Amino acid sequence: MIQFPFTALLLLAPPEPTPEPAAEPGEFGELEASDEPAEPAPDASGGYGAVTPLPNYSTESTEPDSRDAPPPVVESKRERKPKTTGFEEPTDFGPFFEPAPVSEVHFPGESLRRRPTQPFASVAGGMFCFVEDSACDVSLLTDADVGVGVNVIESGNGLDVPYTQFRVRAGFTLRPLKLARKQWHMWGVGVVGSWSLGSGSVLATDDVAELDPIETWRLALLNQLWLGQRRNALHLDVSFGAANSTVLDTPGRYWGTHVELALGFGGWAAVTLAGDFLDQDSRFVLGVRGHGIATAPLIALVILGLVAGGVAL
Amino acid sequence: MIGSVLLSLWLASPVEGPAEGPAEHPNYTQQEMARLRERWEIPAEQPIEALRPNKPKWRCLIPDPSCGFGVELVATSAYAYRFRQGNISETNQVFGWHSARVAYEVWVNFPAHTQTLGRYKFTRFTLGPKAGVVASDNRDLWGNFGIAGRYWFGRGGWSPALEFSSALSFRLTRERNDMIVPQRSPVGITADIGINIGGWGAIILGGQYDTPLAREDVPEKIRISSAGQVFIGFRGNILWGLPAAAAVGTHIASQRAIPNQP
Repeated sequence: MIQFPFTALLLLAPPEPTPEPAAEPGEFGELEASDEPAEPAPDASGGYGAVTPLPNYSTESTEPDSRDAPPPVVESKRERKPKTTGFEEPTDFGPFFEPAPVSEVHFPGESLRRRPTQPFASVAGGMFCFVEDSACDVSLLTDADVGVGVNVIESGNGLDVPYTQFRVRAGFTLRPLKLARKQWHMWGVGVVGSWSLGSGSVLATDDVAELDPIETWRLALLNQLWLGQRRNALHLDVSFGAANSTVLDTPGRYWGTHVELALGFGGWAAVTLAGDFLDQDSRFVLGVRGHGIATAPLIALVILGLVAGGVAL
Repeated sequence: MIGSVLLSLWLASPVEGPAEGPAEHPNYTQQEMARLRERWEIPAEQPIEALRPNKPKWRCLIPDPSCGFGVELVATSAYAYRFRQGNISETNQVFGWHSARVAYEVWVNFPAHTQTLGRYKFTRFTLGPKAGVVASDNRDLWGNFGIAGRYWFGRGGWSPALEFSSALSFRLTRERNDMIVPQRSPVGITADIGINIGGWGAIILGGQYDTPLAREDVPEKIRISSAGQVFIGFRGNILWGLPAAAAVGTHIASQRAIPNQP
C-alpha cells in the first residue's frame, strides 16, 4: 500500500539536468587531430601510439653480442695425455697412399706365393729387401738402364749432338720414419752410385773430330716418395749428387752436378730423366731401368751373343 | 581325460610348414643363384665354389691369365730387311739388305683389365713398361724402351693373346776396328704386333725407323742417314730355353754370316 506513492513519485519526478563539461583538462588531456605526424619517441618502446618495427636481417646489428660469445676458455694447467686412437677404417680407397683394399677375389696365381704377406725377396718380414717394395724398411738397389738424350756443349768448341748411354747403378734406401713410427710412411732416403758409358762428344775447333766415349761416375743422395702401400706401388725418386766425367777434349776428369728424376714401378723398373752438368758440357738423358735380377740375365745373353759372334769387347 | 588334454595341446601347438627358399645357400634362393651363374656364364651344374682355374706356369714368371702383376724376360729372333738412305744428292738411292734382328727385353706387366669369375680374378689385358737391347748385323746394338701390352683372348693356360709393343730406339754401339764402341744416334721408333700362345711365345711383325742426324752445322762425317727395318720373327719367354737359344744363335749367325754393309 505504501509502495504506490513512491512509485508514482519516481515516475512523475522531473529529469535530472546533464552536467556541463569541465573547463580544465582531464588526466590525458584533450584528443587533438593533427595533419603532421608526430615525431617518434626516442626510446625503444616508441611510447604510446607508436609502432616499433621488428628487426630483420637487413637492420639487425652485426656486432657480436657479448652474451652470444662463447664462454672464455681457461687453459688447464695439467697436461692432457694424447688419446690413443685405434684402427680407423678409411672412408674410401684412393689411388695414392692407401693400403690395398680387402677383397674377396684374388688371382689364382697368388696362391702360389710362399709368403703372401711379405715383400718379394725380403728377410725379417721386410726389414731388408733385395727388390724395393712399399713395405720394405731397407732396400738394396741394383739395376741397369739404357737412355738417350743430348750432349750440350755451351762453349763454341763442340757441337750439340745426340747422346746415348748404358748405365748400371747400385745403392740402398732407408725408410726412417717408417722405422721410427713402426707404421707405414711414404718417405725414403738413400745413397746411390752409378757408372755409365756413353757416346763421345764432337769437337769442332779447327777440325771436327769424334772424341772418346764418355765414362761417368756418380754419387748421389736419393729421396723418394712412395705413392701407395700396395705391392709394386709407384714412387717418385729425386737424386742430387756429383758426377765425375771428362769434359770435351780437356785432359783429366772433373766434377759436376748430377740430378735425376724418376718414376718407379715398385722395385722392378723406372722411367728416369737425368742430367749431368759439368763445365760447359751437359748431358740430358731419358731412359728406363730394370732391376738387376731381370737385367743381369739379359746382359749375359747380349755378351754371349757378341763374344760368340766374334766381337772383341 | 588325459587323452583329451593331450589332444588339445597338440592342436594348440603351431605347425611348421615346409621349408621354402634357400636350399643350398643360406641367403639366396635357387633362382638367385641361377641368375648369378647366368650372369658369369657358369654352367648350372657347376657351383662357383667348385671352379678350378689352371695352375700358373713357372710361378707366373711365364705370363698367364691367372697371374696378376708379373715380370718377364723375352728374347726375339727374327728375319729383318734393313735399309738405309744413301747419297742424298742422288735420287732414290737406298741401300737394302737381308739381315736378322735379335732383341733381349724385360717386360713389366700390370693387370690393366681383369675378369672376375666366382672368387677368382683373371687378367685379360696387361700393360707396362719395357726396356731392352736389340742387335743386328754390323755388330749394331740399339737401346730400346717403351710400353708393352697383351690382351688375352681366354682364361686357360694355353690361351691365345694379342701382344703389341712400341718403343723409342737409339743406337748404343757400333763397330770400329773389330771393337764395339759407343755410338750416338737420334731417337727413332720401333713397334711390333704379334699373336702369343699361352705366354710361351709369339709370332711378331714389326718395323723400326732410325731418325737421321743431318743438320747443316754437322759435318758430313758426323751425319747419320735415315735407316730402318721391317721384321718378322719369334719372340718368347727365355725361361723355357728355346727363345733364348734361338736369339743367341741368331745373334751369332748374323755377325758371322752376314757381311758388313755400308
